[in-house]
Amino acid sequence: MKLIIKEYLASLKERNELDALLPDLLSQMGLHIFSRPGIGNRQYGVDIAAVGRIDGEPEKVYLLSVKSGDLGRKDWNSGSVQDLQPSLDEIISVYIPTHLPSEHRGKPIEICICIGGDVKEEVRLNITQYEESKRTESLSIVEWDGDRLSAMVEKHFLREDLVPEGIRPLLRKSLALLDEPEASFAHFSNLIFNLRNIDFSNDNKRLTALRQMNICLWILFAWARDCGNLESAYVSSERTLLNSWDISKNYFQKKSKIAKSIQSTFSSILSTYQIVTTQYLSKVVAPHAHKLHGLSSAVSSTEKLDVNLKLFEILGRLSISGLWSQWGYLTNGDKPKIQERYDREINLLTRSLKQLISNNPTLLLPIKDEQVIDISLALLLLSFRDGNDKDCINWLTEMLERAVFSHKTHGSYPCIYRDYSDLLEHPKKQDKAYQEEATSGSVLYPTIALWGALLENFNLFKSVQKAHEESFSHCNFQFWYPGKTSEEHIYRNSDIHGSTFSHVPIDQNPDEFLEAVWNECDHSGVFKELSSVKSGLWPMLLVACRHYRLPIPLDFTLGYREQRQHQEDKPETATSGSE
Amino acid sequence: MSEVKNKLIEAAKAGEFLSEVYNLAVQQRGEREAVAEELVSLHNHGQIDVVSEFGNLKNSEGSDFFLTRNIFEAALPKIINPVKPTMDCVLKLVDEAGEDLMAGHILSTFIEFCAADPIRFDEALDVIKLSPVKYNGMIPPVMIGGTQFETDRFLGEIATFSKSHDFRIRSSAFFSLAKIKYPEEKKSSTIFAMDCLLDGIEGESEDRVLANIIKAASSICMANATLNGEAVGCINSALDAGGDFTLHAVSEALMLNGEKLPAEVFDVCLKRLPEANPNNKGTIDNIDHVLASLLKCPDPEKGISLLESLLLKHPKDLSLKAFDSTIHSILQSDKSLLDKLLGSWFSRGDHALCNGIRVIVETTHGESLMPEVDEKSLGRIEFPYLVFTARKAIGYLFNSPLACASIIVSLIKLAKDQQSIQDLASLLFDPILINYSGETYQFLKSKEKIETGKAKSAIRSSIESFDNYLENLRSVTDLPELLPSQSQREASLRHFNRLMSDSFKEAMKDSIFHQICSKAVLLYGTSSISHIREGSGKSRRMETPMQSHGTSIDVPRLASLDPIGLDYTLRVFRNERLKSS
Repeated sequence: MKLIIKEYLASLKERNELDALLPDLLSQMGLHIFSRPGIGNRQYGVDIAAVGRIDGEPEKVYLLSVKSGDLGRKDWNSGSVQDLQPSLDEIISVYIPTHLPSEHRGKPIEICICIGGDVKEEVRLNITQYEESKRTESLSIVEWDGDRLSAMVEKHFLREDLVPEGIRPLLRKSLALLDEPEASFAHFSNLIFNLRNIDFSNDNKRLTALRQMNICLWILFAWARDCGNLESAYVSSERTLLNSWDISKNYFQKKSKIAKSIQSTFSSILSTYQIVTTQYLSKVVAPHAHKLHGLSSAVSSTEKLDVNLKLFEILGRLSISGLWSQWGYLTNGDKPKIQERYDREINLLTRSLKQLISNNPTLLLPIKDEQVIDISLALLLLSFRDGNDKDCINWLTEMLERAVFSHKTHGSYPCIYRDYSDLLEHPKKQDKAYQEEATSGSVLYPTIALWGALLENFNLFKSVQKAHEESFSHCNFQFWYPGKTSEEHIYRNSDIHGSTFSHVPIDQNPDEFLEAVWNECDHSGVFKELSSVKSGLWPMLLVACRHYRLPIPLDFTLGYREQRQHQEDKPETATSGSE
Repeated sequence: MSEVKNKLIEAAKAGEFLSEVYNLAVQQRGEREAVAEELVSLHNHGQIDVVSEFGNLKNSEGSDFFLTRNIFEAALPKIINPVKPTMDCVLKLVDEAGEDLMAGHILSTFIEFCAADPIRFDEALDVIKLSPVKYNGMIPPVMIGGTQFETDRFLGEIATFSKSHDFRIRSSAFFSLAKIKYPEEKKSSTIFAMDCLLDGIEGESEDRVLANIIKAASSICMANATLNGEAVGCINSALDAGGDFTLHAVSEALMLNGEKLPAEVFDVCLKRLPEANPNNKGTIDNIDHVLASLLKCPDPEKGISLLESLLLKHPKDLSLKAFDSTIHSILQSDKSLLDKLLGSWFSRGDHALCNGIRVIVETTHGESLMPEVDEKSLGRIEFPYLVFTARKAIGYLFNSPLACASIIVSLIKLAKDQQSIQDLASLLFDPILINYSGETYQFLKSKEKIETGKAKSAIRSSIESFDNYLENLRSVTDLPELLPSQSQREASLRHFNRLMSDSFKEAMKDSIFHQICSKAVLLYGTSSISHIREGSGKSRRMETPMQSHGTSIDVPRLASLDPIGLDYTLRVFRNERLKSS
């Protein structure tokens, strides 16, 4: 286990990775952190500062200077601003005399050289000399190299008495099978399941479980990145995020010390999730989205189904990232610079999304109705930016045409089946009975109609009506709404939940259709009470829908109703004004 | 007494006469005539009642009914026997033969039997007249044979039978008229026969009777060209009232007589062939032979027109696949015939016709066809007609990319407007080159060198587009995240293996080898050892080395990259129609 952890530590980058792990580690070790890593704030060589006792030693102040990978001559003192020796000098000459909080003055100080890897022999003598030369009665300089850090991680996070039985083998298996992501994820999800199912009789156990989830996810990600396959890390990060939210959600409104620690650890997990997903998109999608058939060809399968399944998967993942960026944009309204960064991100992801669709024509026709989830996510993202309506309409129009055409010609029309082997056989028969069974229900078609109505493209809406009349009269057009038990199950997928609006009134006009759909949102009223929505973390709900394959709640389209009401109010105001 | 005779007598005594005849027929092989001679001798000398014995012959498993009956057929003309029992025996042997094409062959030997002593025709006629329904099957041989001796009298008898209330008797009467050899010097007999037909056709509605009227009419008009008008009228009336049998008779008349039929009779028959029932394989096979010979003519227009009418008349039930000889004829004839057909049929866009081209092209094996559109076969060449034709070619011939590319290049050469050239070049890139980058790419490269002007630059532009496309694809590095999971790969492999196994079994059903060879499964090794027992009783060791056999096909790139889109595009190409101006 120690070797696994060491390997993971060695692969961490300094910024946002190694320095993100250390605060959790120190907290878990019982230390109080009084200075955390930050960008822009000058810390005079100190990346993390903490105070407390380690292994029964007297209370000390620990000042950590963090470096990723191995420490060699060029990292020690080669004239670069990132060099370690000048940082240590700065700690001694500036930070300790001027920045050390007054309550910690007089306590013994240990400056820790934190490195994920090893100290190379070429620089060993220099460091030893330096340590000796600076040592005083109250000041010492020590090395926390990969060996020591991995021992600490193992001792404080993954010690056998700290984790439920079987966690360590599950972690090892999920790492060993990274090249077979499905199997790796199966082990990792089992690991998460075991971690979250421990006895939560006290808050500290919850906190420890969250930290363990985070460190395990980090280890998995670091190994996945190293072996060049992020698939397992991606889905595992979603699973970890959702489960960690389920543990943390009740602490979000509280202000106790433990609540803050839990909130902070959840933020770390969210950050880890975002690092994994960003890395995934920048490796897999962004460089190739603009190439005709680029990503389709990368699926490298002779089975026609595989390309379709993978591309819709990518569509959903890309869209979810865009929606997180949109969330970042909306929640940072008072920080123009951060908002600008999110704005750039959204534009980039939106552009990639459109390129993905136009260059991979398999995205013009889903093979299974369930892929409406990914389609809805994409539409939701596109709807947040002006100028995308036409693209959405074109996409959906083409999709509907292809679906109806394939249905008529017994081609690969969207079906209700989800199982891979069923999809392989689809369409198994060319008779009416099979066709009606394979299309006995649909969220896809009413969703196309919904967006036709939302974007006021009535031709598209009418086309769905026509398709329903001519080809899908047997099909139950439906929408899913979260229900009273959704909060309990949606982040863990622990049971079936929610309600389905069956036989949606597709024969009505678009306004009546929208009215009926939105009325059901009002009637249900559950959406606003979902913890992720209530806490302002609404993308979490979308992650849950994508990850556990649930349709996107229609409450996300209520903005259109407000917009309409606003537009309807305007002329009235004008009229009353003129009167 | 010969050994054969002895064996036959012994066998007859033991009640195993027919088995012995069969054994002798197998053993004597080339000397079956000798066995027949022995039978004649034994019968005529009263040692065995051969006719009576053969009356017991059954068409059952375990012996070769036809081989045994052949011996009797060879003996019958020389046998001396009363007519009635002979007729009974012959009828029994015809019935026993069932629906086999050779069932009625024995009737011609019965004619020879009667001809040996022509009074037998009168005796046979009397037997028939006494029980016409029972002996209906004997009417044709008796009438055909009888007219050779006394034409007018027997024609008169036929006329009488043709007015029978029983349609089976009428049918036999008209069949007799079809088969009679009309004496050239006596035109009156053909006139009489035609009158007979014209009388018979009035109010006739029985399909089998009408079929025989058609056979008779075509036979009579070939014997007397002055009766063509009557024959045409007679055939038309029969076809108006008849059904599948009537149409089959027309197809048979055309297939057997072909050009020998007077032109006007030939044309009227040809005109009605598209009405044939596509489920009647015999009729379709006859038409196939007619088509094959028509398409070999210097002017194949009649054949093309008939083929088009047939395919368009039965778009769902009839495919060009049913016309093996026709396809062979098209492929054997001058390449211009195929060029003409594909230009004309693709530009019209009818599914039945376009699918016909697909069948023809897919029938070729080995070297690929390189068809080019014949300008004269196209109606219009301005935008978008040529593009429409090209899209049809792609839709139907997508699995033959070289043929597609060749057709599109020929269309580019015919194009006059820039829009058409641009669209055709873009079709060469997508979906042709995008899907088939091997042989097709090389073909277009070589075409680029040969062609000049607009064709050269259009081909170059499509090649450049493809080179850029390929460069982009190659730049997509290995992305293991996108690979299907192991369980998916395994499921897919199982699915593929099952499909292959099903298709192998399906192919085995039609395999000629499967029908003529026995199958032995070898689990190991590369050669098969077996021991063959020779005629001498010795066993000989035989070792047969195994050969591997394989074939390769180009799988279109989009079949895996965008299978649904590709399927959709090809379906659109196949189903789209031009709006009529």
